Amino acid sequence: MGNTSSSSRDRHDDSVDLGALTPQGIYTGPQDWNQSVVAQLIIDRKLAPFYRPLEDYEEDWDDDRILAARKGEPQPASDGNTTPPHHSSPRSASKSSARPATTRDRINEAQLYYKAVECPICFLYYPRNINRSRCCDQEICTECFVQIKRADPTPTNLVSEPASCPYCVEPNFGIFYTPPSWRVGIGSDQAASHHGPRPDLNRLGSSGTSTDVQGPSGSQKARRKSMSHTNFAVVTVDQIRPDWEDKLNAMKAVAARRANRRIIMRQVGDRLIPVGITSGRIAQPVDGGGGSGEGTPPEGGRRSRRHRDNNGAASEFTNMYGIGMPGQDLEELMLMEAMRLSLLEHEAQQRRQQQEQQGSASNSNNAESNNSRPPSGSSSLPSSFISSSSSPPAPTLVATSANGPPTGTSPGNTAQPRSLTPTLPGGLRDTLPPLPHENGNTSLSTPTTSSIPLHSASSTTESLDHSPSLPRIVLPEGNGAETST
Amino acid sequence: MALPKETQRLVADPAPGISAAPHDDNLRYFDVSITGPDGSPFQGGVFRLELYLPEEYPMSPPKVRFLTKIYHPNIDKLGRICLDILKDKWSPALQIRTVLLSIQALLSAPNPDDPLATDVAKHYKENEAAAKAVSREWTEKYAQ
Repeated sequence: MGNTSSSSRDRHDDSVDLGALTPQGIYTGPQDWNQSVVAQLIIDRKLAPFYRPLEDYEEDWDDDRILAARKGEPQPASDGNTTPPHHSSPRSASKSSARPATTRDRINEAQLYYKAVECPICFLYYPRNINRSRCCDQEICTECFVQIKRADPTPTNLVSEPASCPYCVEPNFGIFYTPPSWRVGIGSDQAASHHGPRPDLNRLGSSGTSTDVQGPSGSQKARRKSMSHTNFAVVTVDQIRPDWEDKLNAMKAVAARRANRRIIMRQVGDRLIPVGITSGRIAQPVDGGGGSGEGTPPEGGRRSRRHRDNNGAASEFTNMYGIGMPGQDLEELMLMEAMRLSLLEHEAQQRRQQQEQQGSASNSNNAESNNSRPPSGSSSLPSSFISSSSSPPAPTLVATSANGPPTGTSPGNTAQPRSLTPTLPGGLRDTLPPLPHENGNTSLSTPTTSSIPLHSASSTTESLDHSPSLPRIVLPEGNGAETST
Repeated sequence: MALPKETQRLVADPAPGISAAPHDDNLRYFDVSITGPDGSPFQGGVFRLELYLPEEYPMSPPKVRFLTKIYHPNIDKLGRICLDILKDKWSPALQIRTVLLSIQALLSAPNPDDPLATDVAKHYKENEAAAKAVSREWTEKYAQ
């Protein structure tokens, strides 16, 4: 990180109190928290560093045993921070001038883990200066803490509940961290004068007497009262994911867009032919702009995307007719496809009618009068729809989607065309092994298929996640019940 | 990953009436059996389940399903289980063991007011004695 002291090429340059600023690879998922915020919190000693955990721990282990139990280093070893291959680092006599330092450091690092504490979530052991939940004073390692987040909002569930404590379910989960009484690594230069040349790791913990080491980790002090999530010393889940509000606003915009979407219909004879869809984004520029303004320090990427969205509103008109639509919603694409099929079908039907008419006309004597409507006329009609709306011969109707007002995301649409429903994300299913037992064709990953109502509210929203409020349109193909006759 | 360690403990120190063993070729996939709790219509039965730990576990809940047929208002004919901690009430501090204990408790205390198998729930609400008799019958038939 930035503020390394130029004088000492120490291996603690990029670590804080012998722990790292980056995760140790316990979780393999995407790192979707704000890493620079997390690193700063660690440097500020408001959040425990990412210590290399021990896979196991017994109180009577000696130092070598402890060091051997440490979890392997994370795979993408950015640069060997905090850990063993430190013989190679050019260690001048910066801090521990008299000693060769290597064994001494190893011992110190082992001491870090004396009376190690198990994180109840990942079951790994960490130095005693571990984070504790602000509400119920339970241990949680930084690795697990950064994984906890709000559930992402969905178009049908436009709320973002604050994450709850995994232990006591108190809302607004946050942690409180008591740093050790010594300091090494980043930020230790200022404080170094107060301490000896090497930290006495036996004094780990706040009170600093050696009797600490004796008692079990939790009992070294009276149980702390719970702290408010607004306490400045508390680090909350939202703090390390400051974009949660942006996400919520973005999802609200998506939902509003869908609710506002209109289908443009054209009347041909007695039929309404869908010729395009508008995007509700046009109606939402104010909302979108306001959303990016609030919200805590937004990342650059997110903001720029928002701006692009706003600028893109003008070009929505071109998108309306299906030309030049990179980045269009999959849903919109499917809608366009449905319309295309509808047009084709209509065309075919017209052709059939004409042929019938011609057929009957050739039988009858009135063949001449029917010639005034040549068959070629029918095929030219739909193509003019697709190209543009210039000089429409027939009135153009705009039908509100979803039968409702703009706010109507009401999922009561039983008549959603099946062909438009996005396919379920198949990730989990793919990872599932084939089931060896009976009912082999039902997988664990599909507990919310549509037919069986699961328990009350939560499951309803779950199953609806996959079928966002689509505009209701009439699909002549593949949906016989829907066809208007 | 916490997986091997939690598994070790699960296997070494199983909860009464519950066993869970990971597959050799896929440590995320468990064969589970739960014995029907005494005093319930499922007493004397041994119910087989499958449990799968998704990639996001323990940040997301495990996926659990009954393989043995069971007549229970909160378990449908595909074996899917209606249990809040398997859905929105999941917490990363819960474990495989707690999940399985909760399922065992669900066998002792069916909740027809929050049904998954609506017909079974209706039966339980309208004539509990008769419904329990069917549950016993199914236990004898499928879970022995």
